[in-house]
Amino acid sequence: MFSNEINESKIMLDTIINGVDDGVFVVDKDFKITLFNKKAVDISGFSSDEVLNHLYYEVLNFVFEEDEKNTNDFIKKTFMEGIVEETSQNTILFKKDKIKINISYGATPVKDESGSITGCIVAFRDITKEREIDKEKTEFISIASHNLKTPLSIIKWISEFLLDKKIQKSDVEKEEYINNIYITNKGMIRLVDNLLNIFHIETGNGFTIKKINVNIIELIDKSVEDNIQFAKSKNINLVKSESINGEFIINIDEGKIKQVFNNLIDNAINYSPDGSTVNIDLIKKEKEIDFVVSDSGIGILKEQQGRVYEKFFRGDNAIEKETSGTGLGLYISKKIIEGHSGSIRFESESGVGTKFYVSLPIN
Amino acid sequence: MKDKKIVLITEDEKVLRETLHSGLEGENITVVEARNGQEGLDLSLSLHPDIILLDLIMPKMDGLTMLEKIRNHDAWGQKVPVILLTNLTSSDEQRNNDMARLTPTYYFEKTEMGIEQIIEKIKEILKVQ
Repeated sequence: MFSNEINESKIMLDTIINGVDDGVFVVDKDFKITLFNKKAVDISGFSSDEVLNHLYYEVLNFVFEEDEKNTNDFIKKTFMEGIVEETSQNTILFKKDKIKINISYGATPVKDESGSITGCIVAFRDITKEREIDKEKTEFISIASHNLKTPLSIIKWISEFLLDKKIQKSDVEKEEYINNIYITNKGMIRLVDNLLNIFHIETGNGFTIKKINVNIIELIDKSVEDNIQFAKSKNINLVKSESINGEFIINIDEGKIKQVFNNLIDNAINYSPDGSTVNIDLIKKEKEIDFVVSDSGIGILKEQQGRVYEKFFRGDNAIEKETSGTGLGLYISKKIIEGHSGSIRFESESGVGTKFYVSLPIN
Repeated sequence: MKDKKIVLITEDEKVLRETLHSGLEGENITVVEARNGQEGLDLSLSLHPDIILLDLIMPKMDGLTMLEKIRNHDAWGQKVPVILLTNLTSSDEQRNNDMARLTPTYYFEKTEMGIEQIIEKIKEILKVQ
């Protein structure tokens, strides 16, 4: 009866140890590994046979991230001092295949009834992914704050310049400066909207696609209307194809798809030479529709075409021409289209023009 | 009549560059503009400006790389005063070390510093009115 209970307890303990989401191993007072759970095998790449009854420091290699100096001593320290040791610095574990992974760990002494330390339990976790996410977040905040400060500096400097009575300015100059403030402010509003969009996309918070039946023809008309002023300012002819006529109902998130259309039309105008034409087409197919915007603008450099949907990416030729842009529009557009189970693609040649296609399923 | 001082503005943001340019223009200063680090370096080495205003984040070549190349180039490059203008926050230790190393260099955050203060600083360094 008694041995049955022990057996049951052992089975339960084994189940718990192998079920936990952390790597766990136990080291005895001779520093030999006496237990190595399933997750520890998954994380380290070593099988139980390769580690059990081996000195822990001969198999497992923990080092500091900064200087790659050995940090295996944390287990010995737990033995010596009898206290719980936790990751104090960024720690790396070399896996069996020598690949480095970021880990966090905790080492706890095991004491017998008399209080003597008889072993040490180490729990560790692969935090490589968390570290990457942290790094991405930091980079995002750093780029976002830089991109927000740039228009703020422009508005600050120009306002100071206009207010400075010592500097002579003609009415034409003044108008030009005020126009610059206006354009910069408009760009900043778009940037803030885009940053909020990204925040929603990345946290999954508020980025939901709410589909309703929409007349896509009307939606395209509204999008064109939104961009007419910008087109006029560059003397660009916005031409709709004959297929954009009448009624065509499709189930989409009206606001978000309009944002995509606006983005593509705005880009086409922005990167086109003054006086050129931007064509907007709608191709109705059996199961999907294609919304197409084509321009004869600066195009996308061939070697950079793979990076177009990256966050904050702007083409070298777009920067060179000193065009405005946040590098966020296409990233967001792609997410919106993917949220509709559609696709976005483009054909582009540097110096010739770009043609963007958005395909949306009809049902 | 003494020679005009040359100010080189290396800044990728067109409006900032032009605003600084307008603020600096005067009878004793010639202003030259560069749109990125590479242009800035080329103009620096050919014109030997009396002062360089330098943005940090720019296409083609960033500000610190350009500054390093100038400092290592010749006797003029070692001495020319440089004002770094940036929208980055000053918490990057590596960057701060680089800036300390590449003296004589002044560092202004664009949103902190008014254009008038920057112009005053330039005039003070150049000793022009």
